[in-house]
Amino acid sequence: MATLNPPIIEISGLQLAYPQADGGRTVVLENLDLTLNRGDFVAIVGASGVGKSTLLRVLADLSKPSAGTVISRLTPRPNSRPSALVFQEARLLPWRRILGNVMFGLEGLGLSTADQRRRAEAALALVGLSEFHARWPYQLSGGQRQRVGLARALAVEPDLLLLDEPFGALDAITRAQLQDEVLRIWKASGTTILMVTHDIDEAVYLADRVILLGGKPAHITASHPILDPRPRQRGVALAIERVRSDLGRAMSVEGEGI
Amino acid sequence: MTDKATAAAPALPLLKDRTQLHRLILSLVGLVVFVGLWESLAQTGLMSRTLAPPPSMVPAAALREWASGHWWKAVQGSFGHYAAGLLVGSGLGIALGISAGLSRTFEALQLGIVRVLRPIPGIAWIPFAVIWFGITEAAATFIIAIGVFWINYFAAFAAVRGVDPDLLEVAEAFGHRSRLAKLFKIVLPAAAPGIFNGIRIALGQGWMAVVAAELFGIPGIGARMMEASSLLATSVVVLYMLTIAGLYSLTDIAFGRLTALVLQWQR
Repeated sequence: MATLNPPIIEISGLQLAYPQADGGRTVVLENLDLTLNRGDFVAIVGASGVGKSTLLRVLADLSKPSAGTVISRLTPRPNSRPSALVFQEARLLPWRRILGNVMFGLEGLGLSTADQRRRAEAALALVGLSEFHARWPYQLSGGQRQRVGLARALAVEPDLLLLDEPFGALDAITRAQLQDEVLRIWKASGTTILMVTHDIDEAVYLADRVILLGGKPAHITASHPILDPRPRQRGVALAIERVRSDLGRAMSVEGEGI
Repeated sequence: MTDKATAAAPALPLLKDRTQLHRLILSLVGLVVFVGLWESLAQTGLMSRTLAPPPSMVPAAALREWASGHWWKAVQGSFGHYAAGLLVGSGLGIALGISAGLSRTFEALQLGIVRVLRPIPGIAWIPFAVIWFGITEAAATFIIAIGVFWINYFAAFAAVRGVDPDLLEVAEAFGHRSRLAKLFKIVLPAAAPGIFNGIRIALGQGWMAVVAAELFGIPGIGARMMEASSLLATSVVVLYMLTIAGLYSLTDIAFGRLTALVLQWQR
């Protein structure tokens, strides 16, 4: 079980605040503690605007915490990046062909162009887009673009894969396909995944642990392990209801809705 | 697209569909009517042939100018000034526009200078051009460069400021955190369409500046037009006006092709 694995991220007492124009501060996250073990698949749920993405941004080193500690035991392996982020919108670079987009994160790692190419091709094969190398982003559908975003993150072989509501904008069928692909890739690579979602069904279907971010400023208000063996059935009412009622209790304590 | 249009497509590769063919025909009709009207006004004596030469006089003028070698020399001279002025003016405009777009300090520093210099048209610099460079090619280049500088400057500035911050975040998330890496991997390619747009407008503006720059005697189309008009050889003046129109079309089409090639990633 994943919990037996050593921790790779330990967050304690995290606070994140933005300065405001009027001289005040907006505190988004406060007193947030979270430990991720190697190989975990953790889903964060919570109301929109609560600060889920902000937490991912801290872990991707895009935002600096204003207080607290983030101990990262991500082991920098050669030719890889410690973490990689898949955005809510694919955010591909429109002036690069698909292969070039996937090579983006591999540039500057000291790999030869041929090696970058090989790694990018392998990542594209992983998400089933091998025949799209030479296309431009505008020629792809939303689901395909999101897959390229996933391939771009997988290509750098991250220790920690951060997914920021990556399937939120997709239709139900494409979303289900991509969820299964993420599961398959997670099992095959053993990478640690932290995924933000507002979809409890998705969280219960994918993760080992579902945590709820709530409150103002936000902190972790509930954590729920999902022990059901995989492959799981989609929308298993019992598990979802269990999490819902747990999260519902936690939220009613906080006095807010999801 | 209808079947008919598809069948016609290979014969007219430039025309995407019938509406486009329609527009082309209409624009040709407009041109023919305009020229015909002008010609008949001159032929019936309603308009003086010297003050407004009928179009039918232009081919003869063209032959004379061509045979004497004046046409080719004028075009060569003007094209040289045009290319040099465009290169210097656009190059500096783009470089400074990008710098102002990248740095708030630089932007603040140049703000006052831009306020003062911006409204001064290129032609207003002619006295200084003559004092500094004399009646030389450099003077013409200088005036044309000023004429296209601001267009490129503001286009590049706006393009850099308009770069999607989400894409800059992608660069950071994937390890490209230095200013230089962000400049080359995100800012320049993202700003390229805006910069190319500025250049395209400058290509037209440049031809206007060429004539102004040469009117005071630097050999080229403008100088030749002044010579001709002082001899009341108005058909020659018209010839060179048409020459400029033709050269502008050529450069515009060529640059359009180049843009389509470089920016083929755009929808």
